[in-house]
Amino acid sequence: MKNLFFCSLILSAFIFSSCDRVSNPYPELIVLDLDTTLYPGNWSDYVANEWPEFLPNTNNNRNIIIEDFTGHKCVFCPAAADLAHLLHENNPTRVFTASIHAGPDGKGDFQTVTLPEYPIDFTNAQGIEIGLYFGQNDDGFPGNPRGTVNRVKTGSIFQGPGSWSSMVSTQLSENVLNVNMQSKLNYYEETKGAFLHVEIEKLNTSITNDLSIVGYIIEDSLVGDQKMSDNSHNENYIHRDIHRGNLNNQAFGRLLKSSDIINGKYYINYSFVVPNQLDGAYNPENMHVLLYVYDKVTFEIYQVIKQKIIN
Amino acid sequence: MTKLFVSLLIVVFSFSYFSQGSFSGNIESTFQYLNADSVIGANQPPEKALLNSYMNVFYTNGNFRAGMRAESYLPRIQGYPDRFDGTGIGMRYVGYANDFVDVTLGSIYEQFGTGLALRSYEDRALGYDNVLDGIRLIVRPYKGVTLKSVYGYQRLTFREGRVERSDGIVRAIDAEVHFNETFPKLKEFPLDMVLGGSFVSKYQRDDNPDLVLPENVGAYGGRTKLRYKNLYFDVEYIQKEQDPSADNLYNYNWGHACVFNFTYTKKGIGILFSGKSVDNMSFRSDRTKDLQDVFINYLPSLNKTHTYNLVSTLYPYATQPLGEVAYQVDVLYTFKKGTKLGGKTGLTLSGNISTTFEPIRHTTGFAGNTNRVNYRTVPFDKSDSLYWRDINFNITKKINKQFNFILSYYNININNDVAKISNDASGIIASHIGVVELAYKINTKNSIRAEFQGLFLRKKEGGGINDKGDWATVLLEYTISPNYFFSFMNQYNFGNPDTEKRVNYPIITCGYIREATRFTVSYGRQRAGLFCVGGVCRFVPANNGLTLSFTQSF
Repeated sequence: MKNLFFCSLILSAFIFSSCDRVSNPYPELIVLDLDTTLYPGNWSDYVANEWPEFLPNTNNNRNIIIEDFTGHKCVFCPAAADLAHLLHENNPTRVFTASIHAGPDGKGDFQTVTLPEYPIDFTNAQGIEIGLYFGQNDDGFPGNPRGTVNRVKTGSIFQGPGSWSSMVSTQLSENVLNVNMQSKLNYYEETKGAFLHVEIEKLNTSITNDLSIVGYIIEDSLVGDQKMSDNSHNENYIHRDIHRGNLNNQAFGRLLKSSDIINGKYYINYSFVVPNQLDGAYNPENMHVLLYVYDKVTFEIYQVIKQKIIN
Repeated sequence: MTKLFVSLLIVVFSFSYFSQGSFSGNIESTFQYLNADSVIGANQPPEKALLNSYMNVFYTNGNFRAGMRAESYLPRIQGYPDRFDGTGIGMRYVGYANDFVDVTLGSIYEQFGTGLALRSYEDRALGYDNVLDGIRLIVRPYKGVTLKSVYGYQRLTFREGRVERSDGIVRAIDAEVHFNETFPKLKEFPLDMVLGGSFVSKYQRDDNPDLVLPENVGAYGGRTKLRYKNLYFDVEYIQKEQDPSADNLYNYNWGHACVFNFTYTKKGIGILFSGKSVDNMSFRSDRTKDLQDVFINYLPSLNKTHTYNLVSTLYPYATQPLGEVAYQVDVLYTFKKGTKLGGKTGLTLSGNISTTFEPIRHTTGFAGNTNRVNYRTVPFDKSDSLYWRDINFNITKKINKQFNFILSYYNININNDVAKISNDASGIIASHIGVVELAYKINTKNSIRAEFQGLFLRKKEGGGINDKGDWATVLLEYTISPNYFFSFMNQYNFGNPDTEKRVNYPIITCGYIREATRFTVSYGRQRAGLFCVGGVCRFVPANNGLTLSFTQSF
């Protein structure tokens, strides 16, 4: 009878883990149209008076994004975050950081909320989707902390922190600018809404792979809980450049299509509501957007720019 | 995989060489040489000659067993799935069994209950094979208790000599308790009771950009079998969760299937009453497939399996996995020798009625739903929309030691709009079929048998002929026991409304049988149509030519 009990237990576990039930069969709609209601006035006025025009882009530099895949219970992550921040501070206008709280399994043990010590959920759907994708594809990554430097593949796309400095240095000095970008943002406090306009110019016409544009919403900094390298709990840890989600909820962005081209350049427009901080406070000055264009085949990021919400 | 299998063979043959073990198996090879025949629409394939072959080899040695099947399609004979080609290993397994466990690794044929949740099986005549490739573990932890688990990918096709598997993986468990064995107090109890339950799940990645598809789909249910003296009753009910697929146009309804059988038998009498209710039970390991590809489950047909040519091949009924409610009554009665009707040798009467209807789908309140759940059904809630009805009677009489006959009548109605059988018909095709079979034993070695069959279609309301009109078949068979048989059969479509298509389909067949070896040769025409076994059908195109077949068992 003991055998029967164990068999029933296995049977029950099997049954309850083997059915998916879908209440909404339609995928979440990706809205690419602008939400004109975020403009506190007549939309025609925005189009006539506030829609920006771009001057010729004078930038000659290829910028760098370090995607730091991290977790608030990952003991080796604070050191990696410090390194990423140092690389940013050494080149504040060319090196940017996004701390994505995700692992190869999406939301792993390092990212889960554990009360009472780690109450804040730093994860979001797009970060988890990116982590999951790279956890299973394109050589994957074994765990936190790992990161990418413009998603340039040197062996694999994902590198341990030990490789970040040299990769940043190499790419800064090589400074190969294949794609140039510039952006303008209009923010309206009344609606907490923002309209972001981006101009993209493909400089290297030998690139024939599709390109996509992605927008990361980044929270500059937040004081919160972090497990440290000595396993201690630091409740006053400064989390920097926290990835809060992607524009249009698109983890892998929006394809640049020929229909987006005007006079040889791509023009992409976004509207979004500036989110609260993770602690619930509303502070748009503590937020920015990282916009990057990448190669859909190789995943290499050709250019990244930073757009503050409030300058 | 090939290297692995060669290694396996070496191991198996080494076993047999060095120790005691036994081999068994069978071989079958069918060769066709086809001619073009514009009258019946038969084409000659570019190769002109076609060849199907297979060989099963099974080895057992104590608790160990192994088996394999080599298959060859050079190219496939007519009517076989067009993806079968090449020569290779179509099935292979190794296994070990004792009183407690029975484990099989490799190709697995398995059935839970009546198959409503899971049945992997092979039918060579149909070209049907949904074998699972993986592992099966059977455990008997207690007397009368059997637990089974199966995990594997299904065979989809056989291309260039290699099995190609289905996209989704199948996981299944089954438990069955025979109470009279498990509980000693019930050992002598007159009511024999068996209770079972199954759970089957498939996983297939959601690669549909337009819908959020359930990747893990489960089907589960229970069954019982009860026997009391001459009475027997079994019932099985399986429920399937959301399984949007090409079959059900990606609806998110749950499905169900239920089958029951009630029988009463005693010497000279047999009564069977069966029922079946099915809705949305197309359960495949690849949601995009159709026809007979990668079904995980099996929905048994609830109509009598006929053997006479016109009855079995002209209007067979294919089970409708999307929904049907069916009933069947089958009665057999034998008048004993010496009675008024039985006479000196006895007389057997049998009657069978089977019906299938469309289930009622209650759609009130479902309009405008965005969850793609379109209707509600209740088991055995049938509409009056007929899919199938078969009423038939047989009288079997042995006049003396030499002569016996069978008289049969069949009234078959099939809804061609649902169970598509012909491109020349619409709605219900109603037919009356009469068969006279005569058999005469000339002496201990020689016998002759004849069948005379006529099929007459009921005219449409406007007076037109539905489908191809009336048919007649004559079969003559001469047997010289135990080695030879000769037969001649001709089907004649004398009632075809198109007089140019009033065609004869003669075919002559000769056979030689010696112990476990059988050669047959046939030459003639074969009509296009559906070939069905147990409600599972495949289309066979018209052909004209020579067919040679060879079978050997060992």
